[in-house]
Parts: sequence; C-alpha cells; structure tokens
Amino acid sequence: MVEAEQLAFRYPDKPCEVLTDITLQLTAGRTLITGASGSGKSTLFSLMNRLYPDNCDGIVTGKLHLFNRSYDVYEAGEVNRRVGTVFQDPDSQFVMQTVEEELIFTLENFGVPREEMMPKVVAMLETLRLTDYRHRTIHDLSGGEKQQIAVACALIGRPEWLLLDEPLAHLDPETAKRFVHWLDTVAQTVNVVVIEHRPFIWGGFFDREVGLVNGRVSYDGPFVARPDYTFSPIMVKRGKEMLFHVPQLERNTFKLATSEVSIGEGDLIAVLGRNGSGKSTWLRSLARHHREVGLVPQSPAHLFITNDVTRELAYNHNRPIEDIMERLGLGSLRDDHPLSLSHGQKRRLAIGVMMLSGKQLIAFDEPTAGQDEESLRALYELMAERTRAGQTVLFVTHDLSFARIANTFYLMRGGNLSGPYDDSLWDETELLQSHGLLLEES
Amino acid sequence: MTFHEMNPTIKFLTVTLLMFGLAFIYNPWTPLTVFIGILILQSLFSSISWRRWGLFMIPFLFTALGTLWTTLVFGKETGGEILFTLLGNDVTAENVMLAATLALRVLAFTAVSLLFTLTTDPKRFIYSLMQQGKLSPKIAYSVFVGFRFFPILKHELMQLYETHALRGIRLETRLDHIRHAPKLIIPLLAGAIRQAERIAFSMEARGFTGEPRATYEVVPVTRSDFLMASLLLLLFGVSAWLGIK
Repeated sequence: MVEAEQLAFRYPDKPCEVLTDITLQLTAGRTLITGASGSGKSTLFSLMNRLYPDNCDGIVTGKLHLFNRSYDVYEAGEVNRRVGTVFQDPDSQFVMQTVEEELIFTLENFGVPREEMMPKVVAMLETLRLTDYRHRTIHDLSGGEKQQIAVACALIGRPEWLLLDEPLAHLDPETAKRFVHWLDTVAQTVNVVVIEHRPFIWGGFFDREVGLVNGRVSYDGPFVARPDYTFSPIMVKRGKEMLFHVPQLERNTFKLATSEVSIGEGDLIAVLGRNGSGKSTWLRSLARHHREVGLVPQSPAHLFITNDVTRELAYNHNRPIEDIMERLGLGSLRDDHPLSLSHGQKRRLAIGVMMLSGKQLIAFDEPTAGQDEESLRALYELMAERTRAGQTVLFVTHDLSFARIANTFYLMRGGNLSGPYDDSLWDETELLQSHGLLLEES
Repeated sequence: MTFHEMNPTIKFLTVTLLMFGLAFIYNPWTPLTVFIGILILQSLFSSISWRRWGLFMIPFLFTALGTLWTTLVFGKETGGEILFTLLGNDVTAENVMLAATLALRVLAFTAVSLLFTLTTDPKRFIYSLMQQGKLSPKIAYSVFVGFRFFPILKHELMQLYETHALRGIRLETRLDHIRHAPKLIIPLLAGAIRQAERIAFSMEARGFTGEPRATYEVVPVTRSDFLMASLLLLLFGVSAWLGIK
C-alpha cells in the first residue's frame, strides 16, 4: 500500500526535517509503528491517509507511492476511500449527534446511492456487533464505545486499510484489552496499521513492526511482543497523619460514597480505578473540600490565569518564588506564556504553583494519559524528587505499570473508595480483577 | 399539513418576505392583523407549546410596552386635538397612532420569527438549505460541528471555573463568574482551536472534501409547502389592505 524511498518531510516554517530518508514498504497484514513523541510517526501516518502534505503545506521530497501511484496525483478524498482512519481522541472525531447519522455521514461523503445507505449501516453494525448502539447519542457513550464507533465509521466505506493513531491512549486497561480483542475478531479482511508507543496491550495482534527514532526508521521486521515499561516503587518516609474527609456526592445517576482517607506526610499515594469509576470526581471533591490539597488537572493548562510564568508563580501570595522556579527548572522560561510551554513544563509549573500556594498535598488527575516513555520517566523523576523533599503526592490513574511507583494504594469502584493497601495489593489478583484493573491472561 | 413539516427554506423565504413587507407599512392595523392572524394560523397548523411561546414572548412584550410608553411620553409635538396629557407631554391622536404602530410592529415581528424558530428543527433547516438553497456543505457541516461543540465547550468552561476556584479566585456569585469570564477566553479558545483542527482532520480522513456529495436526509418540496407559503402571504395581503383602507 505504502511505498517510500528516501522520503523526507519538513514543515514549511521549520528548518529541520521531521522525517528523513524513510525507505519503507507496507504490505498486507497488521503493522505496528512505534516511536516516542516527536519521532515522526504521526507525520508518517498523516502522509499515509494523505491529510499531509496538503493540510500543512509541508514539503515532501523523495518517492511516496500510495497504492502504486504517486501521492500527488490523487484527488482530494480519493485515498480516503481506500484508507479508513481512527484517531486518538474519542471526543473530537465525530460530526453528527447519533451513531446512525455518523455512519451515514461517511457514506454520503463517498457518494453511496441513497437506498443502499441504510442497509449498509445495518450490516456494518451487525458485523461489528454494535447493533445496540445504532440510535445512541455519541456524546453519551464511554471512551471505549466511542472508539468502536470510530472504527465502524472508518470501516463502513469498505477500505482496504485501516489506520489507527494511538486508539487506546484514553482507555483504561480492561477497556483497551476488550477493544483489541474486538478489533482482532472484526478486522479479519482489512489490513491494519497502528501507531502505539505502549504495544504490550495489543498482545500478539501484529505481524510486523516499524520503529522510528528521530524521523528515521530504526527497526523494520517482525513484531516482537514485549512487556510494558516497568517502574520501581519510590521509597518514602511517612510523617504525621493527615485526615481527609470527602462527603457523599450525587450527580445524575452517579453516586460518590462518603470516604475518609488518612494520609501520612511525605507519602506517595495512587488511587486506582477504571474510566468512569468516579476517581476523578472523588479527587475534585477532595480538592474542593480541603484547602491544603492542590489539584493538578489532566490538562495542567486549565490552572493558568496569567500571561507569563513569573506572574503565574507569584499569583495571589507574596512569598519568594525564585528558589522554587529554579528547582523546577523554570528559570529560563520565566517570561514565557504558560500556554506556550510543553506538556512536561506545564506540569512543572503547575506543581510550582501548588507548592507556592502552600498546598500540603499535590494531587494529580490522570497524569499519564497519552504520555510516551520519556515523559513518563520525567514524571517519575519529578515525583521521586518531590517526595524526597518531603512533599506528599497523590495521583489518580488507570495506568497499572506506572502506579507501581506508589507506596500506598486506594481502589475506586462505582463511587466507592477502598483502602489503604500497601504493595501486597499486586498479589491480590481477585481484588484487582473485581475492580476491572487486572487483565485476565488470554 | 403543519408548519413543522413545511420545507424550512421555503418557510424561511416566506417569513423573511413577510417581515420585509411589514417594515414598509406604517400603520397600526397591519401589524395587529398580522399578529392575530399568525396566532390563529399557529394554533391551527402547529403544535407549539403555548407555554414556551409565552416565555419567549415576555422580553418582546416588555420591549413593545417600552416602545409604546416612550413614544407617548417623548413623542414630538404635532398639531391637532390633544387627547390627554402624560407626564407633561400633550398626546395627540397622531401620537397614539405612531406609538401603537411601533409597539404592534415589535409584536408582529416577534410572532412571525417565533413561528419560524419554534417550528423549525435546526438540523432539517441546514439540510434544506444545502438541498434547496445550494448552501456549500463546508458551511453546513461547520454548523453541525458547532452543535456538537456546545456541550464540549460548556464542559471545558465548567472545568476551568472549577480549577480556577481551587486556585483561590473568588467565584461564589454569578457576578463573580461573569467578572472572571474574560480570563477564560484564551485557554478556552486555545482548546477549541485544537479540537476543531482534530475534527476537521477526522472529517477529511472520512472522505469529506466540501464538494457535492450524496444525501440521505432528503428534505422535499411539496405542494403543501406552497400552500402554507401562500397562506402566510395572503395573511399579509389582507393585513396590508386593511391597514391602507
């Protein structure tokens, strides 16, 4: 399908190439493309479904053939009939309100005759075992369900290839596992290319792997299944206990039970639960009811109020900021706009803000979502450094590999918090399974 | 045959024509008959909830009364017999007619626009504009995406308020929220632009080019559409005749 020789790509306003000297032939089957953020895998992906170079005025050199024809001889939308795409973010790939309308949207684009549309929709949902969703409103579906619908929308045009860009990034492990299993059974006749930097959850799904490092192909060969990244526990010294009470909360059909947690000063705590188990709601409620808790939201950018890093740190208090600014490595960025920072820098700024406003407990909401290994390691270092300095840190996650860094654990299921557990939790297979946190080995 | 079923583009054209005509007629009787006529047609050919209609009507009713009052009190001096004195301003028959014209015009405009908005499904309107009005799919689908964006933006806004409250910004009353809103525009827009780009990519990856495409939801033009349109225009004709006579 894709044939590239000495392919290079760069954005018009940047001097350096994003992809360099790519020679690659994608053939039928299931291919995995791996690489860290910035390795060029998303760019390569966008060249395959021909969203690039037109949408970014990028400059392509070398040979790039899609289906045996050069990429630049295709009309707009022509390649997209043969290549279906599923993106990373479940919330920004739909246009219409309901599942049925969304599927029809694709068929309309492809100019399918009107009387054939509804039978196609029915048949596709039937094949994908999604018939029950036909009249559902997309907004109300869970992340995993939305990704399934996105696959349906990509497959309904009967493409020869299906491309998926980190489709599991926002799903919890069990949902992700189910999705992979489902995709494995429904995608029998279509060729699949997946971008993923944590391939462990895909099991033996792939038969080929292409690795990218800094825009170059570093590996091209058979897929090798491997375990996830491992993180070792961070040792902490626990000081005096602090008691936090989170009252009962009811929102629509969801009920968060009242809970009480006792947290030792300097401890590192993980709260584990599936998507929709109420762990983020619990965290927000904790922060609302206790002034000493500083919340770092999933997108730290939400916290920022001012127009530069210095003012952001100095906001609402008159303590000196220089020391903390240096310790968090923000000194050179002091005049930058908070929203222009990288994700990791934003997170450090958020921590700085919390420390300076005298928060005793820094609480992260899903800090690992969509992060590659390097930024996970950076997060690990940051948390290790903070706990060494005596800071109490709590985070909410469904990332079981990363959660191992914690010292104390709580579990959340259906709005009920249980715990504390120590690291013997990892041996309690049944307990973890009942919280949807452990994958049954298949 | 109801206004709900009527082809939205034809309905829109008729209603626009009617309002345009109203703007050129300068007497109290035409808008009054149009207002009453619209109410009658509405009760005959639609299933609008009168409660909802009443609620929407309230602000415009106040506008109409305000217009009436100010025109009476601050109306310019005209010759003729003085009917009564209001806050020291002599009111003549001509003043009263002028005030009634302006106030009734507000009511007639409101009734006509409510007839359109309360009987038209926005989605069907856009489909119809694409099919009968030759609206470009690019613009039409931007509107559809816009509909989807509202709940997402609202959710994002709530989250911003919540996190900012946690940073110690006073956000207790509604006034606090309004006062703080300008600070949220940049982060909200930054997020929205990123989302919009992703949706655009996704649409394109699914074959949307903005060129002519097939349609599933056909919004037909039938004879009853023209019948309804004539009914509305007839109402206007009668009202205009009554006013001039």
